Amino acid sequence: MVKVTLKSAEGDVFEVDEELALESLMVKNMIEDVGLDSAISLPNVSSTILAKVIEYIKFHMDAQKDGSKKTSEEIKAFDDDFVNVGIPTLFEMVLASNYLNVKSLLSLTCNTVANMIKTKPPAEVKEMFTSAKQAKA
Amino acid sequence: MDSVELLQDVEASDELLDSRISILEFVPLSTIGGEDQGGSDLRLHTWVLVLNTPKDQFLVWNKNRNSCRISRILIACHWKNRVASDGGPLVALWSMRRQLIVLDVSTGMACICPSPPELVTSSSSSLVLSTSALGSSLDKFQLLVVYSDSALAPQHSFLITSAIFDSTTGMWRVNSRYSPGFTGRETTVYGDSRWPGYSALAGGFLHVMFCEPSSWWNTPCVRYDLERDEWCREPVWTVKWSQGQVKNMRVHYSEETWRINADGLPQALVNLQPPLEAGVANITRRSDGVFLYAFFTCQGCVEIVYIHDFEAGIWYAHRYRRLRDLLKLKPVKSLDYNHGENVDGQKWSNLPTDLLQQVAQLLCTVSDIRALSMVCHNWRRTGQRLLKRYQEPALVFWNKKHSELCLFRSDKGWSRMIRDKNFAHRAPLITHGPLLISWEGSTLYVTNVLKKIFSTKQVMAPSPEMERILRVACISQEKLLVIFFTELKEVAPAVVSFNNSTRPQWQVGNSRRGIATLTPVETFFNERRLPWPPADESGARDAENVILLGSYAYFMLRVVASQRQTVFQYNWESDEWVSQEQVQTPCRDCHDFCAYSYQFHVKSPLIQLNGRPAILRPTMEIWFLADPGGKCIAKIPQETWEKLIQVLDTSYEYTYIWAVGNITAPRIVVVSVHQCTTSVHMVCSIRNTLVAIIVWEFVLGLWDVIPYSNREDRLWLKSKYFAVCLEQNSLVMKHLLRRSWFDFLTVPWHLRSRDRRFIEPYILSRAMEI
Repeated sequence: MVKVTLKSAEGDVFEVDEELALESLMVKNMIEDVGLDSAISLPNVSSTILAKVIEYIKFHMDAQKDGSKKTSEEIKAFDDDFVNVGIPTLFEMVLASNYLNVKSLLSLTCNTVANMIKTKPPAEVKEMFTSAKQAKA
Repeated sequence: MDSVELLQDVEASDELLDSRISILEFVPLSTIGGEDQGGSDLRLHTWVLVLNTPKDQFLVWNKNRNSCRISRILIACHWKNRVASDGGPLVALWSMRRQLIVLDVSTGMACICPSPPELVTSSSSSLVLSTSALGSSLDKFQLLVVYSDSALAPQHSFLITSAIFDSTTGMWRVNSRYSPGFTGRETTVYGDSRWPGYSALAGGFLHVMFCEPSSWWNTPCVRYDLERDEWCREPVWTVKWSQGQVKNMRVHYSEETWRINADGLPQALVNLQPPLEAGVANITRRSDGVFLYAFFTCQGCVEIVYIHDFEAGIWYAHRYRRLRDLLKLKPVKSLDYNHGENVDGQKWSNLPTDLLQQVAQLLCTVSDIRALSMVCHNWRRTGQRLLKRYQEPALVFWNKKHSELCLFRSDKGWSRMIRDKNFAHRAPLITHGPLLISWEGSTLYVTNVLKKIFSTKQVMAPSPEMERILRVACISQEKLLVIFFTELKEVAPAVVSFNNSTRPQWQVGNSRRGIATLTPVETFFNERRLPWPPADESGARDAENVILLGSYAYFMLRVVASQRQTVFQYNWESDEWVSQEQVQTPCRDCHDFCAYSYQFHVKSPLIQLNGRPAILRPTMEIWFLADPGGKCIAKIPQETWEKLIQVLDTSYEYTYIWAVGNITAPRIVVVSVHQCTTSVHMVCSIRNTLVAIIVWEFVLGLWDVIPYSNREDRLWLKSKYFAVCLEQNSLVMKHLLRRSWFDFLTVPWHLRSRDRRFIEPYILSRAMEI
């Protein structure tokens, strides 16, 4: 199995299967351009978030395989647990999924953000966004 | 030619850094077809930044020279529509006075050239497609002005006139040709939107694209060969994507570069993974001749950039963002990377706008959307149209991608309502309580229940009289007044009733069985023995003059030949035409005012204004109608009207007139809108730009100019995005890109420039609680 080396913003190196890496259209384009010889630098993604993205992709790839025994309930439970994080982390995941162009993860995270906005007054919505920004800063 | 010292060397001083300076426009001097937001021109050519200073000056910044100059002469330029350049230092401008000015940005000199002899710039039917200056200095240059005249063009073709001015001879050479014919499907006429959205000068050709609103990338395109002085139809390539999806892709290219791939698109490009929405590709070559860029747009932003290496014969595909990083270029104006900002400009979110939009699309209630939009002042692209009225707020968005009309209703989620690709962007939309009504051609769309759309085509028997709906007015939630053109080019009103309690059932006119029989207005009057005005010589009766006041609908017929007009009242409560009123207009006035008729190509000379005085403009006079009886209480004197004519610029394409205030102190509000279509950018084609607001103070008897803002802005304005809000007695202008103006809006607003080509200023109802 061909391995792809991903380098996070902190410089941490993640070695993943090529099949997994290609789930990210951004990485896929990078591979097509520069090949697999060098590590693909992802300066906009922190190590923590990159690890979570890899975890997400890996889980869903396994779930989609023919021999997978994962039920839809299990997948949903994983997704729910996966996005059950703090707002700053969630926003970083939105940004990372958008940057890496992982559609399913972007949809999941945006859905989560939307659910958090629902029924909230504008002040709380703003506070939510502001807290996420401050946490990142 | 008169040569004038247009620019003077002035360093950018503190004065120019005043916060009141507002950016008017970026003008790429050499753009074959930049990305629509103006921020993705990667070729590093000269940019001219035009600033509007507090002293009504222009600050012209030449990027390559890194120098600033101030224009001492006020040149109110319609940049996007009238500016083009082949990459040289010359820029051709149209001033507000319709003077053709050639500006040399390298020297700061300019000269005024005569206009093309056959171009009637004040005519609403004439549209300047492109004005280009070719040459390296003012000593010797050529001007190319391309314009079209819709009034002279037969169907399915366009009369395009190219006028070339040679500075050495001082003569114009005019060549008018009909464009190659197009099929009817390609040239679906949507009013004046049939005209080109952009034109671009490239490779010795002027490429003109005729925009068709719903599928602009499929629109026909012609090009004009500058050397051969002839028009030809530009080829369209069909690209078969690897996913099997076939899309027509318009490729603009320079002849020089495309010879290499004369047979069509390179196979490598065909096989590439397509972007999400391959819309338009602009292919050009960098100055060093190495790369050929193809910009693929995706919802207004560059998604993927393809780079072709000529030497290696290889195509590369890059994510735009990464390419931008690689080249260390920062887009000048890329809405995608704007973050949410507070009123004071402080960023409040680390999510870019496009992601915020994605989140907002997942919200299903109006209250949630509002909550997000209220904190997201930098909203760009969520909803195109907005209507909120009464106690039941409704948001109507036009989803261009799917050609749908999306309806939001409070706590009901959103639903795609109209899946009709023929539904034009400019389809009018009115509301009456929970009713949302729109019409297109002879089809009437009405909904007062979510997920139900009624079409007259579906529920009404084919009616030969009903050729085209002109106007629809809501009488009640179950009754509409439809004014339509008949085949005989006459105007007929019909009252359409429907009851949606059981199933859609329409009753038209006096029909008792619900059969669609539209009764022409003449039948109405004949039956009631009401006098019918004598037939006018031209056969045209202005049917758009419909006004609803109180319980009455006023339907005004204008008879040109006899210089008189008749106002009929229709009482929808009693379903009768209860009275009629004739107003005699002296011939003297008529003759005086008819000369200005072309200037007021007013779409709605009669403006409905609930519970307020309204304006009736039988000929070119302005009458006030009082509420609710429709009694004419005042008439604007002739000299006042003439003054208005003098103040208004004749180039304004749309003029909107409102009556505001109360009956005792009515005021006229005139909003003039200038059409501004781009000729430089490939995609961006913004039609309307607010330029002036003039208020007639009835009590004082004075015309007043509403300042664009509290700041010292000029009378004419160059703004990209704006909304007009008539709230009670005040007219509120809302510039949607400037935060201070955007604050007023509490709802998302779809502002993709590409979609705003055909947007006219909206009269928004009073906003809900802010």
